[in-house]
Amino acid sequence: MRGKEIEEGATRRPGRWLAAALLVVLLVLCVLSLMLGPARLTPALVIEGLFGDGGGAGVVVRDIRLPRTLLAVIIGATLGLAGAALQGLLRNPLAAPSVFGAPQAAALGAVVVIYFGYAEVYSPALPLAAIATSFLSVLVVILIAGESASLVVLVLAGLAISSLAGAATSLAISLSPNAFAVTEIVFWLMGSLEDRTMRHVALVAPFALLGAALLLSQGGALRTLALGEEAARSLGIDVRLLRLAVVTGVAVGVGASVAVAGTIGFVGLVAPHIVRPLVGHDPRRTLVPAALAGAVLLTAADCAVRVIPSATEVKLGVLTAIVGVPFFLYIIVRRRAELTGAPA
Amino acid sequence: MMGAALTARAVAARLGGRQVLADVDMTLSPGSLTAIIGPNGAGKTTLVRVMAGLVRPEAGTVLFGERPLSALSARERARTVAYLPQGGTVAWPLPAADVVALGRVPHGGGPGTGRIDPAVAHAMRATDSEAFAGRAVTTLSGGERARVLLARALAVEAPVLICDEPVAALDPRHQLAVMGVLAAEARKGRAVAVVMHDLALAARYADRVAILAEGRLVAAGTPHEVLTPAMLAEVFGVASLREERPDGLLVLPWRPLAPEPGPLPPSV
Repeated sequence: MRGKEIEEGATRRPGRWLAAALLVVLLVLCVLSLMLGPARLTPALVIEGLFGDGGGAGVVVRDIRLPRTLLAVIIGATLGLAGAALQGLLRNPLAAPSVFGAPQAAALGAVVVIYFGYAEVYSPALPLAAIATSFLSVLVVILIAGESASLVVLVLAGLAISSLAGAATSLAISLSPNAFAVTEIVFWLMGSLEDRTMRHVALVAPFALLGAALLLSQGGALRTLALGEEAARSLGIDVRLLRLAVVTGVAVGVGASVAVAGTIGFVGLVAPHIVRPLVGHDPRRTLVPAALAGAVLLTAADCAVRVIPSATEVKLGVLTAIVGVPFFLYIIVRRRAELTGAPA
Repeated sequence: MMGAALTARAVAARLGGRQVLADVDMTLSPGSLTAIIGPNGAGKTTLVRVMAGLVRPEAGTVLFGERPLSALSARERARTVAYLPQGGTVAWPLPAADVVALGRVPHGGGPGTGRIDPAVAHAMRATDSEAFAGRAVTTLSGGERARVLLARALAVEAPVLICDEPVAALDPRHQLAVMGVLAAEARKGRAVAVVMHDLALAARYADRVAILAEGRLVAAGTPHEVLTPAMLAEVFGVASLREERPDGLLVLPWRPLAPEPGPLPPSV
């Protein structure tokens, strides 16, 4: 009887079903994303456009909507995975790239590159600069938070970093001699997948893969870290290596994403929360489902911005923030006891 | 690997510029339970962290058998010395059985391998924590969680087991039970070290007692040799009762010795 209970505790594995369900939802959303736009297409036309030999539908689907859909999937998955990994590393469900100011810092790096004209928009200098600054921001927040990583310190350090990055970005914009470039930068900062091409996909994909590989390689270590740093080290986990791998993985993925799509926040915060109760809260088993949930969220949001009636398309980053911030507040309210300093 | 002793030789350590340990020698022998006692801030935790290979000593070495602990790979060291930190918490509401299974990580195991590791089942049985195997560890009481975390350390099945205050959160019955488990592990041939404050439990269960004060080893020996009223008066500033009983030694701190050690800090 008791043996059976042990077995149940250790072998209940709902993660696979969840991943399959999320994949199905993602596929449906991808088809929807290919259908939506100024010219609405039927699923049949989408399939013909994808696999047929072109015509009007072919151009719309392959050249306009497919890059956009692929970017939503890649960037959403990157942000979801980054959020899950950071939450595992800091043993804290409030951690996320946007809470750390990583997207804002990445945007600063990209804006500086654009501003000084170091790069045409498609050059790798853009993602590399964005990766470098987001790496710095996450590293600084983690160093300030220290081993204990209390909620208050994390959030305050993230706020400081993101304010600083935001101010520096504003400075760059206000010093810009070219009014057209200013409008361009401002709209780009809001985050959007409009008018992206396959070149953007090619720019972000290698970095996204590299970041994902780094983060996924740390699944076992993140799970062991649930016991705390001391116990994890006593079990042979190299915590410094783990920290470096996660910070690098997050910076590479988030930096490259921001470089092609602007700042899109809160997907990384929300996605792990959706899947965590369903996979049993294990940081390792949260990673892949959180990536899928992130892809689902961002693809759904990118469909939504095309459906919401407005003169110009609602910016994707604006929508994710409008939905994400209340969620963030909700988590804070739920964990208020910890935030006000009561022992956890 | 079973059967070798873990030895600290002339170990010194510094934390934030302060000398925390100086010239400490200690041997944890197979088959023996060593209680490490001493006033707050004596360096007990630092000593066991050094002996578990988690802190590099400023001077001196730690040997497992003849080999320096620092020459072992992280994984080898993890299989050699199991370490239970003080007051551990688990960050996520993982099932208790999965937490215990993390003890198999140094052996390439862990939760979700699809089968129940006998070491995990055994550790949960030994700590009487099977009843809540499937419950989220964050919903357990302090005492239940302490037993699950002890089971995690036992599941490593290392020849050396070091526990930092494993009974601090437990009620008397479970204090006795946990000390019984640790003594049984020692009888199986492991070298067991326990940092503790309870002199009565140390007298009752330890084969050897080591007393640290201000970073130095003040005394080491059997409970009979070390836990004397004179020693306890000198180290802790307490008068104590001591009684030889047929089933063991009874030692109880009884009252603080004059002069009082100053006013108590204001309660927080």
